[in-house]
Amino acid sequence: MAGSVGGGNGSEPEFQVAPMIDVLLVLLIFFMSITTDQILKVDKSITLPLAPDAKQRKVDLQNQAVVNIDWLAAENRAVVKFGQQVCDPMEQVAEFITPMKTANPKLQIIVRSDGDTPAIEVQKVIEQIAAGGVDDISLSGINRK
Amino acid sequence: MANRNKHKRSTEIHLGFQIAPMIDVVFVIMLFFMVMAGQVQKEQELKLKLPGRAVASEEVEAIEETQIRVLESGDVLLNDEPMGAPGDAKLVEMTATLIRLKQASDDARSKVVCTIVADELAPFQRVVDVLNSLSVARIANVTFEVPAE
Repeated sequence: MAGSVGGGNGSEPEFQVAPMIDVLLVLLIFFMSITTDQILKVDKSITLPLAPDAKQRKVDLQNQAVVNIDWLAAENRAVVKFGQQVCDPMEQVAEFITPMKTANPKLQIIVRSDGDTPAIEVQKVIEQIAAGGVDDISLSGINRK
Repeated sequence: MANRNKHKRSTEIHLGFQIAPMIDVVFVIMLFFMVMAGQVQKEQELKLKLPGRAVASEEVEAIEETQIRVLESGDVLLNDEPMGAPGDAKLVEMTATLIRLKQASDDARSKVVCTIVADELAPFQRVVDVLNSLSVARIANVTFEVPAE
């Protein structure tokens, strides 16, 4: 016992695997829950504008659809995507939305656009969303750079 | 023979599990995630209400509309009064004015309706700055338009 530390009956302290796994799983679940599944929708080519005081977006995949506006400054044009599908001409946005709105009256459209996009391009997309019959529109921003 | 056994025992590697370094590593990982959790970029939303048609059953009181103009240069005008220079991302003066306007309207039990009128080439970031300012003032009835030039 000359080299042992601590009290007890002198036996080797045993490592308990079960509580360790418990703790690790709790930590894993905690970090998974704060990460949220919104990352799935992020189109990395879009640099969202900064909106630190906006409300946090509620993820409701059943009632939400995303329109992405990617501003290509070098070509001076915007690429509009409904989800992953490129809408060219832009009128296709309304064509995609109309049947979705008919099937789901609660449909909400989230517009994700580059901060550099001219306002007129965003307005054109909003017009197409309105033509598709949706009046519940949210503009996306990020909480920090 | 006894000497050889002693030598053998001293070179034996102890492969037992060491709990102290394990806890060290777990705490370092936990601290890393705790610090990084604050740096996570979250997507936020700014609601818009599109103007539509509604049939009223009773006489509707006229609501005064507040117009916010966003110029191509990035300047922001509230009812034609300059309220924000291009570098003023927080729009401090306009936010304070909007908060007062909202309070006055709440006291008078009326609604505040804001229309953001942006120049065609005004950057979207500037429109979002205005929406962010309206969000701080808790003004929810906001529409957005870009008049044809």
